[in-house]
Amino acid sequence: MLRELQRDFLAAVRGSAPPRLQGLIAGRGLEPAERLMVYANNHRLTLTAALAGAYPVLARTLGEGGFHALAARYLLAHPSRSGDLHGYGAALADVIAAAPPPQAPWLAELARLEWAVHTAYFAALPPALALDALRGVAAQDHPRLRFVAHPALGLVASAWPVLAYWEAATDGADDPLPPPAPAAEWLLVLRAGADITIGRLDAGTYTLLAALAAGATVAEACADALAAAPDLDPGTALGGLFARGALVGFHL
Amino acid sequence: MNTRFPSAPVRPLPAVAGIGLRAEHYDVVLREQPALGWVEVHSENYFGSGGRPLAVLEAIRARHPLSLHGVGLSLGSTDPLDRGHLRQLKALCDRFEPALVSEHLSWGSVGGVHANDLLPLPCTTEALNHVCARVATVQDALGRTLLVENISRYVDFRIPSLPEGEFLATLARRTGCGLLLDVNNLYVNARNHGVDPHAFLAALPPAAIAEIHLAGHTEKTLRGTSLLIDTHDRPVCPAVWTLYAEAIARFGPRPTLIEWDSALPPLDVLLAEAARADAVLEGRRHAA
Repeated sequence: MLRELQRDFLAAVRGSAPPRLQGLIAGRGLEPAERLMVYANNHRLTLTAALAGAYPVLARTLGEGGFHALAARYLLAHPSRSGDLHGYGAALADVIAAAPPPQAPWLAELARLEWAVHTAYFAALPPALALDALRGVAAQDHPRLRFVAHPALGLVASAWPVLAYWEAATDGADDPLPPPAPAAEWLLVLRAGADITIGRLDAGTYTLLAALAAGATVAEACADALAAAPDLDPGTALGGLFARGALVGFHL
Repeated sequence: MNTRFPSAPVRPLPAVAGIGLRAEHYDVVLREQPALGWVEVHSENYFGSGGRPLAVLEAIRARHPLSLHGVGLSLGSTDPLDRGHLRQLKALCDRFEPALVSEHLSWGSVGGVHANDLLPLPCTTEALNHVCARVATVQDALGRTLLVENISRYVDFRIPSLPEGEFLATLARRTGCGLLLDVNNLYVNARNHGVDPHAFLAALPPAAIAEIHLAGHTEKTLRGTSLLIDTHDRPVCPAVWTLYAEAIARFGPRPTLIEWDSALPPLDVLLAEAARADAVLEGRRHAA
């Protein structure tokens, strides 16, 4: 009985109130459907606000009407799966990409960047990589090394140069210039203290880091990176990643 | 007892007013360090593994007693209890040593899909047995007493039910849980559904009431019928202050929270509301 009631009630919250539920609700001057609508509205506004919190630049870019319409599509396709809304919205870029707005085909890429920033904001901050211990690893073992990525690390390979737009919008520019034309941009998102940092990488270094973050050995990651960018100097690239703090641990 | 917070150690909360702390007020509270009786936060806002919210909570907790108020555990849901959520809540309790931990008499999910809202339970015997078992499980997992709060609702089920006050009293008696009496929610339900607020208060066991919530609501009118919505976006209304005074007269002074969650005003407005609750509490102490 309680199970069935809750199933029907959740259907009403998500926008379609089953008739048998309406029969169980006292009207007191209103239609049961009107009372249930209070819950449906509350649900939609709460989840839309959670999405706007994770995607502030996208929300501003689309305006209230456009963002609410996108959120409505998202709620339908991706219902909330947790009592904690901080992880809600991970697939918004995919939903945008499935029907990209013709006047702004770069919005899905902007959404990917914003999600990386959002998740970095709540990530733990581990101690930095123990470079002294790393120097103690014998040279013949280097190819077998695996690294641990920083928990806040976000990697965004964008087909549009969205970082300049994001930075301008985040700095409070009234009317940031949208990306003029498609151009690949490889971004790395990290956090130092409370501050999010975003850097641009070259294709080779990005590929190297992506492979290492996915658990590849140094040898495997270098092979991937050199396939993507034959001119890459992997040693220099790796040193640059250490300096940025993208890797925080290693093991053999 | 060892504590990480020697200047605000764990103890029963003093029967004074506290405020709900939201991100909009982090900076002003850290900068101006106003005198706060105690602070309550939403547990789920600190479920991340790092970041500013946890750093701010460390700084706040070092100076003030803390209450953790959950909005997402879904106590009344017929879904299996979310053990991951419970583990995160336990970890937060271990880290921040709150004086109180509370949840709502509500449910929020079916089949793993969440409304992220406090949905109403019918006050049936089936629901009572279900919630008693869930509260017992949560208290065992946390190793402490949980407070359960009465919610606002916008529907009245045409199902044979216990009066809500009696439901809560039985829940407290069977599980040993405490009660968080939200006076605004009681008022909203009195106006929306004709609940008798005096009978509701009379049904509650005074010893179980460990905290009181005060908040503002919004009145909407649909086709000539008024409906109060629990919006937490404005001051406590006069009628709720009156009902609060009645509750304090009946139960004695209790830690009282000013809850404000959207359209947040400057911190001073919250502090003025808290001072008003403190005056009611102080008056009751003198009357005793």
